[in-house]
Amino acid sequence: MPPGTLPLLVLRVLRTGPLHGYAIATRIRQLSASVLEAEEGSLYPALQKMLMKGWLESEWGMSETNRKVRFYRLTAEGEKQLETELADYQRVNAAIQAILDFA
Amino acid sequence: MKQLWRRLQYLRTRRQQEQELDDEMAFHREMMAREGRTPGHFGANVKLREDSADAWGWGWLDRLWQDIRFGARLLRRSPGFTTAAVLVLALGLGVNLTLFQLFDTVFLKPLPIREPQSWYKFWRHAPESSADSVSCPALRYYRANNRVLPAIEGINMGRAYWAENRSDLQTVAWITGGYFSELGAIPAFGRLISSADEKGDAAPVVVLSYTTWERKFARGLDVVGKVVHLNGKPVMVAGVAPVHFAGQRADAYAPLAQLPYLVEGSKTLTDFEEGSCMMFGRIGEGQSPEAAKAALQPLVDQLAHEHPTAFWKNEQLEPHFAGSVANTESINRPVATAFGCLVLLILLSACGNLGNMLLARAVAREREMRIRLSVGAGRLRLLRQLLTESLLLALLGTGVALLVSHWATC
Repeated sequence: MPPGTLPLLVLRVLRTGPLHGYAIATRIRQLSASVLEAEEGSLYPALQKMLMKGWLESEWGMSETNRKVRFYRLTAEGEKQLETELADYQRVNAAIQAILDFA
Repeated sequence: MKQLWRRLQYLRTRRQQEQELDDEMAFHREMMAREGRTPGHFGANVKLREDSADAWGWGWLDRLWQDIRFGARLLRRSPGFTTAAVLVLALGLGVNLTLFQLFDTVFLKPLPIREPQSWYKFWRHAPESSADSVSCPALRYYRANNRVLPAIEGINMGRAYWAENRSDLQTVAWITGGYFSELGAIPAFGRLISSADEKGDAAPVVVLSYTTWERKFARGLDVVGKVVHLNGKPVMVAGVAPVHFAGQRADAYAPLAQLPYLVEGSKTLTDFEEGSCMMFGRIGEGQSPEAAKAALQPLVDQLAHEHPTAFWKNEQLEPHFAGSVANTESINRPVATAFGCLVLLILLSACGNLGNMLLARAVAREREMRIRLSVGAGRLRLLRQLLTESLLLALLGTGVALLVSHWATC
């Protein structure tokens, strides 16, 4: 996974609704057809950092397996952050694409 | 701001937060195992915990704590080195601290008197000569005719023998009536000398210094109102001066007006040629020393005209700031400066010594450092640890130095 993209992906995945950590990782893997793997060792520190920044909120809930687990939810600030990161990403992506196409 | 709040909140509930993260991770592993995937990328829990502390921006706190604990352990393990280093530091710092306190009292701090910033001593000044005292009659003339300064006070230092014992000479400060009150002095007992004591018919009184009261009266509480003898003349003790009197030091204080009574045949109060009276004055708010000087000039000129032999040509009264110790006591500045440099040298040599000791230790610890580097410690991390160790030493040294200097100035 390219550096710096993990927060973007996490924010995007959470836009559809609150998920717990494991579900976030699974979602990223499934949606990218196993190309992108959110390594657990970096996913949790990243989640902590996003909690600190106030992009996410956490609350305790029950997992599918009936276990207490922490669910992460996007905050209004997180939505805003997602918008800017998406815009940034698309701009850079378009630029790279342009070079690949016409160089 | 909100972020800082969240971070502090995290720090407060740290244990709980870490426990929750552990639970979360355990759940993650459980789910992976359930789906038959090996939890390969997870890494050690400790590492993850450190990473999450980093994410909250508190990683440095953990590492600082580690370094402090490690440093303390090292210092404990080599008590010889620690003691030597702390002593060297304490000596270097303590001597400097003590001397600075002295310097502070002498040069920087104002005298503990009322409104020290407007308290001036007036010198006789002429192009060719200067003197720090005026004659008593001149002082009394200035004082009586002064319309410019809020106050003019004077002290004439002298000696008188105590009781009947002619060998027991005491220093007596003959002062004008407002001297004590201008300095804001509060009597330890009884009352101090006031302007009422200057009147012609006032009964002769004396104010004892605190030490005289301790030595000659054994701190007797019945001292006020007692009749004592100075130069064989009876005078009544009016009171005792405060312990830490910031004005002129003397064994006893008596009104200047009573000098002829207590010193038989003295011409001090009438002789303009005898310049033995220190003149102090307040310079009013919004008044510059130059303006005060100019305003006093007519009085000087008048006296000089009447007593031409007693005054210098073009004599003036030059105000010198007297609100700090350095300006009232004669302090030899070159000697004081040399002393200061010497003390700085002590600090420098203490630093040099300590540097050498640390260097010797560093050589001995080279192996330890190599091992740490080879097991993956970053250079920056090692540097930080060494700095923390030095900081610990410095703190210990400073603590002891504070104690030493406190003990020295007490």
